[in-house]
Amino acid sequence: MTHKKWLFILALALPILALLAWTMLLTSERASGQRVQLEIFGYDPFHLLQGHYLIYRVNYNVPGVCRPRVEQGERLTTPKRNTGYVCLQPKQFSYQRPDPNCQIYIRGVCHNSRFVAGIEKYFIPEEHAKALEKSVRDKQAKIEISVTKRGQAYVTDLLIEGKSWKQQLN
Amino acid sequence: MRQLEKSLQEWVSLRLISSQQQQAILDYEHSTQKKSFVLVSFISLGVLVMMMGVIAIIASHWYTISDSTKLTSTFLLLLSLAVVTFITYQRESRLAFEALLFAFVLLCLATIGLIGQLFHLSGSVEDSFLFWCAISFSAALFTRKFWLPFFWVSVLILSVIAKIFDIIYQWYGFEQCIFTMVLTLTPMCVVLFAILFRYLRQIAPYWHKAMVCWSMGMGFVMVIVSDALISQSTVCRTESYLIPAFFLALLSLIWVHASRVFTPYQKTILSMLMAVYLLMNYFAFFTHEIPILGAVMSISLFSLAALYCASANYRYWFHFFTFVIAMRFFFVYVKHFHGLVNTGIGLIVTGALIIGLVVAWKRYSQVLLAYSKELSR
Repeated sequence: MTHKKWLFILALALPILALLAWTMLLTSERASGQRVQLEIFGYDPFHLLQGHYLIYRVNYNVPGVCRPRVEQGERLTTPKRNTGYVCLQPKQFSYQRPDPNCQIYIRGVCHNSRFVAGIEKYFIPEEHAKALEKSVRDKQAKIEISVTKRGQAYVTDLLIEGKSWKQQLN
Repeated sequence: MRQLEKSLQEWVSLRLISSQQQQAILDYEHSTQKKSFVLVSFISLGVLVMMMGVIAIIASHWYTISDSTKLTSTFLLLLSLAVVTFITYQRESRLAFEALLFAFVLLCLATIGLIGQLFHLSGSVEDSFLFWCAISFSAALFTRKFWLPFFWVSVLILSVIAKIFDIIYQWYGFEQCIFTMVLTLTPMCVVLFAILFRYLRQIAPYWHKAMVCWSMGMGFVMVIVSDALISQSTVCRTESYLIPAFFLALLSLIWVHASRVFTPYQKTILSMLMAVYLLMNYFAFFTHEIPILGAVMSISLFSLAALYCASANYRYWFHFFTFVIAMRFFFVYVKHFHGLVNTGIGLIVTGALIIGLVVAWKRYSQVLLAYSKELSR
């Protein structure tokens, strides 16, 4: 086989391997993370459902999430986007990586006083979209997340009144 | 084939070609006859319908299929497509290879979407596209057609622009001066990329062409935007935000003047083009409304662009720019004499103007094309 053909095989293998590696990384991080359940609520009744996924706000039940950043008595005006850490045990928020006393924490970004951790979206089937939207708004809804040691959170399930949305619909 | 036979008979009767040449052409065409277009179209349609069927079955059972099954089948499909693409590459079936390669890179994009959905990732669309650009670049480099490089370059440019605007918005909010700076910078960056890809023409011949298309397209859009904004109030009051665009324009001009690719005539035109473009950006974003200047500057820019395209033998772009110049003249007329349009005489004058512009464009565009080519020698 010529040199060019080998290069072409490599060129075709590269995207497959990259996607495979990404999938494996996500799978292992989600599997090895600590499971936590957090309350969610729809923050805009008109735009809770966008396309085939639900978007919501997460209630971390932690005081002072994304409070104005103050260092040495001076309020920092810029940047508008800060990396923040929500510690779930014990419940506290900080702009620095939490100390070892914090048993589980979620890393995210404070943007316009809102903490965004990449878990604010849940993909749902189109035919159940309306029913799920109503359930999230009217009933007690939670998400189950898996949190890695580095604070990366992944959504694993959507719970309506303590049950997985699939069971709830059945 | 029948059309060719008719044309050949006509040429023989006019003694343009001999009957031996007619026979030789027919023999050659018969020996290299392409597969029936209708046959290929029906086979493609059949494959498309089958694929839609598979997608429909998967979609209707989407939530009963486990995540691992979805992922495994997607990766198997990717792998099979890669193998088939490689086989067509080896057999040198050009058209099939190009179609399969395009399908392969599109499937990579679909896989990114699927992974994002299965893991409920909240990343932005532009992040997914940028990731796709990174992983599909190596495979896309092997294409020998224009459509894949153009698609890839389009996705890259649009994603980068969206990403830049997103970052700026998140860090600074809606800051008009910064958005102005990005707007003026973007076409310049694309021009610089087009210049860089010129050096890769040997290994990736169509990438440079795709970048040139985007440079022309973005330049065109920016001229339209600037033209509209010149007659509006100031967007930004700090002129220093134009400095980065000025710096990039200078870089491009240094390269143009150092390069042996361009003739002295082309270098002069490109320098003028860049200068007028920057001036137009300045008047559009940093000064108060100046009513007629927008039309004057856009017509000047399109004229320079048409002259350059004529000298560089970009015939389609030349015709496009001359047509746009005629259209701009027409809009100036409509804007300033709109009262006439409502009357009978006004409509006759307008109709005559349209016909006059078309006739002038048809008659003089060829003359201008030839003259500009002559000058560039």
